[in-house]
Amino acid sequence: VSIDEAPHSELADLREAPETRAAQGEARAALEQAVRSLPIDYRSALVLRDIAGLSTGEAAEILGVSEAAFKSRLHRARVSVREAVKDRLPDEGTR
Amino acid sequence: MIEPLRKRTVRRHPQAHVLSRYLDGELAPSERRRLNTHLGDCPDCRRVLDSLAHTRDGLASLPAEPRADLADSIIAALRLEAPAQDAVTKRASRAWGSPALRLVGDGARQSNGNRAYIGRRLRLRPALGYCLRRAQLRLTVPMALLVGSVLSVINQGDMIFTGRLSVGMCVTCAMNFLVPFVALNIGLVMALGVAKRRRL
Repeated sequence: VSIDEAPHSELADLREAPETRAAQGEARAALEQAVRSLPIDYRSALVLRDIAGLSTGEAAEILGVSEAAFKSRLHRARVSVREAVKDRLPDEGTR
Repeated sequence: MIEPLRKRTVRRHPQAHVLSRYLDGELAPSERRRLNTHLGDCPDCRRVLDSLAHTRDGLASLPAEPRADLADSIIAALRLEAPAQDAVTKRASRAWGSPALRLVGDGARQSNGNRAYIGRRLRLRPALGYCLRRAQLRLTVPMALLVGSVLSVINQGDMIFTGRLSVGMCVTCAMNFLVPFVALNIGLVMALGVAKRRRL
């Protein structure tokens, strides 16, 4: 597809600032790295629920734990990932 | 009088995982009301909440690459644990077939595999499957052979060496090998159960 034939949205993508794309790529890589660094129990919970989009009940059943235990892992995993990537999130301060 | 109370409320920041539960709508109405009040007064907590929301949104937008092999191994382990869970495993299959789950990595294979054998209620078939895995047999068979041989020599040695063989003695000798084999496997399965409880 030549530039002339490209749909409007693709042209918009091409015009997107390289710095913005680089920052997005960096943030995504940091996010993936943070997920990979989690203990397997936390990682499984996070991936099933937040990335794959399964319901709490389904994900808990797959992992063989109660919903309460699953939620505990999920939220602690999310907090760990947030801690790891918070400097790359927009307008993030510290508490 | 009102001001010090307000400050005390603001200073008691909720833990971050409570904010995550808030995002998912998991808090009880009273907890939610309390947190709403706190968030109204606390810019720090609002920032943490925003960053948690950004984190969750970022996770949801991670790209997906097919990793059917990973999906297959996990689903196989799940089926081993509970064939009746087919509806769930089919949904899991679709999910694992979808890209994102590559992030679970090989560790998940190991973890889910173990879970297949050490579920909360130990099932006979998964336990047998675990005991008959090559890695377990490499440990249990030589140990059972060693212990069985020693027991046979001690208890039936004189009969064996003098050639006074009988069916009863052969059965007893077989038990000398079988009992330590079974005991070792029971020990391994129980150890896995203990390991899982400690992880929870």
